[in-house]
Amino acid sequence: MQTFLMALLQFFIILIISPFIVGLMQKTKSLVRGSVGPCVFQPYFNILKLMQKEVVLSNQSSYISIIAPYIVAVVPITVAGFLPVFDSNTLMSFSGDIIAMVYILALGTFFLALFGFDQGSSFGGLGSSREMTVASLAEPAFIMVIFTFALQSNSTNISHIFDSMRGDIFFNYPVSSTLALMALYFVTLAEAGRIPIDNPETHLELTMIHEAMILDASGRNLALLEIGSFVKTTIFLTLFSNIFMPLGFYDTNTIWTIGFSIFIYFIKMSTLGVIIAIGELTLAKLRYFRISDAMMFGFVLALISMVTYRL
Amino acid sequence: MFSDFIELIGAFVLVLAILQITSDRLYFSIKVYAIQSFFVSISILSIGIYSSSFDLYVSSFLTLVIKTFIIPYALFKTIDEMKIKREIKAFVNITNSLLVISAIIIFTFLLTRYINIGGSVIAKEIFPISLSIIFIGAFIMVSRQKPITQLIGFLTLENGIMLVATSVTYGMPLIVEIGIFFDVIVGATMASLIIHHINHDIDDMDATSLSDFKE
Repeated sequence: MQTFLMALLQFFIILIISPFIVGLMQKTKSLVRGSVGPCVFQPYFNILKLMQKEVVLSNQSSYISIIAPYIVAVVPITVAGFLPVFDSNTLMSFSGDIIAMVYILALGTFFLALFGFDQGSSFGGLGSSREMTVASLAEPAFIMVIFTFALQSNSTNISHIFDSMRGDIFFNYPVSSTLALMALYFVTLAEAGRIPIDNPETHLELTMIHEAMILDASGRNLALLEIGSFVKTTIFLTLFSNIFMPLGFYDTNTIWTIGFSIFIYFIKMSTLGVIIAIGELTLAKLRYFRISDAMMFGFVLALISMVTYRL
Repeated sequence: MFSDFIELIGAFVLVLAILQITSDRLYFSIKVYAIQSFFVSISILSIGIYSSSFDLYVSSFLTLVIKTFIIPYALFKTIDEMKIKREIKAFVNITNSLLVISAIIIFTFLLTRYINIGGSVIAKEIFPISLSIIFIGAFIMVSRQKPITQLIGFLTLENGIMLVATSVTYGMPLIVEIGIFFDVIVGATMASLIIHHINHDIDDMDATSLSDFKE
């Protein structure tokens, strides 16, 4: 019973923190640029407001437009059930295989692309085709990073990988881990649609990828798609922070350690959000045809990381 | 623990060398080179602290001053004077270069497993890393068309040599290192002069057009 409650707590922490992280990134970027920017909690208000509005669908759209937003929102939420935040027991730790996690996430990307196509507008199709290109380029790098950690910890179970990261794997294989860190950073940027790959702020038709797909969504549908993207970003950041900053990951379950590890998790995620936001400010968005080079860079780093571990 | 830290720094140097391959802007290449030299100087400094040798402190300081500030400044100045176009032309495109580089690095790591280095080595992984950086520098030199990127390839190669010299042998004698720094400075100055002349004489920054001067 206690493990189930812990699992439920971790699950809800990921869901609750996810709009905050995105809001924090926006706020950081505004502050560094010298403007005030929206409140950190603005994404929560946006979701609440959108939930109350009615859905307007194009008369060209089919049943895909009705079911796709729900699938896009539910898939990352399901994956959040796989992911340990501060305890090894998760909602789906009995089946918590990290490769399954990667491909369940791909299901969400697939339905998002279908939703873009289904609107019958040219922007949606454009965004979908770009999104599928980026996703298919990011996937080999991501799965290669996953294989590196699976080899290092002799398991594909997420809880087990995080547990062994809490040991001294990072300092046992510093070269391999550093290269994997860099590769995972690139994959995170690509999958979360951050700046060198995609600009989450703009609605300029030449550059947008994620925004182009959800351009025709409205009301509740838009809120669901936004939730999906927030939770997906948070999942990648959680993965990143728990592998490379394995602090605050305990197995003792007193109320103090739980509170303390939630606090540490919050600090880790905020730090990572601020780092990514500042990274975004210093970089320019890559030209679309340069994305393959960036993803190739990530893939090569991940490949070398795996090989240097085995050699 | 200490050797792990040195290997960590070495890994950053390797990542920056791979990043050098992906750049198609001259400004970006020079910035990457400056950051890479900074990491090399940290690495030399930490080996110096580990083996408490005064020569390595001097060497680290010289690396910091010359390679992180003076040479990038000179290169930036050269670019500004030349008004060179920012794109880098390459014989091999970036994606293929990355594939070649990954093969080279894997081969280097495989190769160094069969080499026994006598004596006590501070950080075992630094040797294949710096060997890879040397090969990457050589690859940049042969695969790029413009002299200034070829120069950056040479400087990357030199960083790799610096790294392998300090990590495997606890540093060379100070007089040799000062000689190497002098060499690098003179090399960079000469190269920028030659680049200036190429630019002035044939109105182009392309080393391939030099073959038109055949009799």
